[in-house]
Amino acid sequence: MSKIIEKEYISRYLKGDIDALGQLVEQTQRPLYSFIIKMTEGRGDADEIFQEVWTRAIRNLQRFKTGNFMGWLFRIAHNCIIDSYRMQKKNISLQDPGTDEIELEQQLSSPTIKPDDEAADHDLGEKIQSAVQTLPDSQREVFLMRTEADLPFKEIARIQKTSVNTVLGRMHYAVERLRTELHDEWKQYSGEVSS
Amino acid sequence: MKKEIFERYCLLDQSGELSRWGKWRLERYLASSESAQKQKAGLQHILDAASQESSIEPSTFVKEQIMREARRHSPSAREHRLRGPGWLFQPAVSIPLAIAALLMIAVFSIHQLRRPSTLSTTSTSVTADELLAWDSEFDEEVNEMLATVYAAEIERFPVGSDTSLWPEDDLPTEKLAEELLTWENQS
Repeated sequence: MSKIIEKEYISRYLKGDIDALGQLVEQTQRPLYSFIIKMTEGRGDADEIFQEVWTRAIRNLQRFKTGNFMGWLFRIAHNCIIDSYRMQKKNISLQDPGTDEIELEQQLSSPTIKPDDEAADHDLGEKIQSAVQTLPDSQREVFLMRTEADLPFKEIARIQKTSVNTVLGRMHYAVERLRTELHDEWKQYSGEVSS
Repeated sequence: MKKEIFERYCLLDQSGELSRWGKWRLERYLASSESAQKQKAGLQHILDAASQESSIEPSTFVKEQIMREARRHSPSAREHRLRGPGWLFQPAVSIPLAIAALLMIAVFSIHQLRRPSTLSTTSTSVTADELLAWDSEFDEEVNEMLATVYAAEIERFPVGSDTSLWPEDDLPTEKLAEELLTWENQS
């Protein structure tokens, strides 16, 4: 959805047109909900988080002046997911890349993640999504924000409160892991680059 | 170009964030290397496949809850809450209400203006000695009443008696009412 349309919907809602907000929810729900589902690993609280994101957004919509609305929504979602993790007393930090390896081990041993099962139909999109589930949180978040919401790296860096360089590094590691996971498919489309 | 640097250039190019200088460098490198072209195409293909729009949606219930929240927090609803009910501001209602309020204020003000004069005459007509006499009379009356109450209490519950303080509690309601009436007549 273009920025002009987003602004139009927001302006109409702020003038009292409730349906405009409904349109805004409809237009943004798929990338946002998909991001939340993939970040919460199918824990079952995606609906709750999605609702919380919109509740916070509605209450603060008057303060939203300019910028990337999708980025703003994803920033709220990022905070809601962290709150949800804290509530569940899960020791996962989206800010600290040092814990990535531990997180990865935890996730690989998690019974909720079954990449092999999910990729049974050999569909590339699903294979990618299954592989994405094995990524550490910080890398997964960068990858999903980039692919689901088409957020620029600058915006992602702002959400993760880190530098663009770190975000690019996380994306690079995520791609590397995908390359390993999707070895055959990757080979089909590309060759190797000399270093 | 190093593999990592090359990939970063590709990623930034794909997001539209690569500088003009970076773009020029990347294009030059791609033109010189066929494997780099394949690599970029492979990366693009994977990212495109990952970007396919998801078909999953939140439940209808959640969407309804969001719309409810939207209605509750819409600026017009907030304004409405602050302004109060609309019918109150209709001229047919608001003008008579305003007149009634003005009349009430006028009546109250007149009443307030008259009151201080009455008070001042009363206060000047009573001397300090008279006030003292009234006070001591009042005190005596109160003391008398208290003495009567104490005497009745001591009669009912003599010192050293181990009976229940309120034996009436055990009586049925009708009996208790009868007793109370008798006690009232006696006193």
